[in-house]
Amino acid sequence: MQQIFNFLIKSRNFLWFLFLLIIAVSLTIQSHTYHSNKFIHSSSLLTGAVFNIQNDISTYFRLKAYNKRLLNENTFLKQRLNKLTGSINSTDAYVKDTLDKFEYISANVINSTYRKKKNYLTLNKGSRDSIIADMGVITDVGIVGIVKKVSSKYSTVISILNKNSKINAQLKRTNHFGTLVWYGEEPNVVQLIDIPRLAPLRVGDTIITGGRSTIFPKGINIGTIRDFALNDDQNYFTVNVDLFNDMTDVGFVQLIKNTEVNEIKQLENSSNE
Amino acid sequence: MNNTLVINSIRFVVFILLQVFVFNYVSLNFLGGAICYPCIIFVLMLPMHTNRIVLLAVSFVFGLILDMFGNTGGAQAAACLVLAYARPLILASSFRVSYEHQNLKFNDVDLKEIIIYVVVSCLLYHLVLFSLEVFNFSHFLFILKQSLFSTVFTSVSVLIYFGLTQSKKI
Repeated sequence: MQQIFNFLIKSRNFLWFLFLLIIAVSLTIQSHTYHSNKFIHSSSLLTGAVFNIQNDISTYFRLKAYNKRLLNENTFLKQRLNKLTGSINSTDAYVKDTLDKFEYISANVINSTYRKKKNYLTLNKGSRDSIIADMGVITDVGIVGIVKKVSSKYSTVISILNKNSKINAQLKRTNHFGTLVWYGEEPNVVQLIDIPRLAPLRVGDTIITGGRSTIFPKGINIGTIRDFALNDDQNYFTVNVDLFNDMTDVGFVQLIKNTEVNEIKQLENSSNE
Repeated sequence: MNNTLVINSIRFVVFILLQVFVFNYVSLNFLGGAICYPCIIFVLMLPMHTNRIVLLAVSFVFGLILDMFGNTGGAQAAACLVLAYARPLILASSFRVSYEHQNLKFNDVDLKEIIIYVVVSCLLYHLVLFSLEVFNFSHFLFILKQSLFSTVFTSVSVLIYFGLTQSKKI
């Protein structure tokens, strides 16, 4: 017994080191598992507040560029509105339903990374602005990522520049679809995998979201094809996609809320049983 | 003794803010996207002959706060902790005599000794940090490359800091 105590006292530094190291490593492991990062994330109250102050200052320097982007989007939306008001008969229930299915909420990006293998963004809206996990995040030009964690005032987003990110995407010209992933090489190029060999690919073709998930509606721009090659098994293409979005300067985003996600999930679960 | 506590508390806050607001946005494209972590100056300059339990705990918390800002799980905490644990060894092997006699002051050492101290510490820190951040040994070469380049970048910035603040000859 005496010897055990002696040992404990003699190597207390090492044991203390080991204890703290185990905590650190387990936190790391947890952060590498999708959706289970409970303690250490930048949507917490302290870090969120600090990033908010920083954002207040830095947005002043970008106001001009952001105003220009908003103006462009406004004109684009007005043109579409003009076209649509003529063509929609609002008594048609089917059209109305598909239009009402998605709601949009705007938010500011208060922190973002793009140099790591796993990149995240922090937004200045949280659960009290009715943000929930798994909402899609887009800008006026393209997609950004998916909401991961939400606190009352802030939320973190898994960027498309993240090894854990998987998003359903398809060709705009045909309906061949695949999965959008990131191999972690350049912050402006993502990879579209599992495109069937039969798909007629051309460099410069547009890639859009596929609408086969409850997160993104169909038809949101992602990027254009830079180059493509067949896989080793010769059955599927891997496509390099040039993003429309400049992920190094995101600024402001819109979150997409699918109002029917619960109904869809319930139905899918009940059919799985 | 009280003075040391105040100075280190100030360093704790200042280096976290500097890292989060300035250096997390700095990367060198010609060095393969090397990232600069001058925050380790805090760990490098902690007092040497005080209670190691406290030193380890302080380094761990320092890293943990950096993790919160960087969404890196516990990678920074682990890296700072390993560095703090290995620091007496690195100090002893790079400064030898003056460390053993407990009269080591950073403003009174050889340039060669301090370069060895900083580079070895940076290398250890970056290896732990990037291994845990990437957490995938199929990216081993990436980890190695990123660690080496970042070590160069960080070491230079740390040495500049030492030169500016610790040099007697100004």
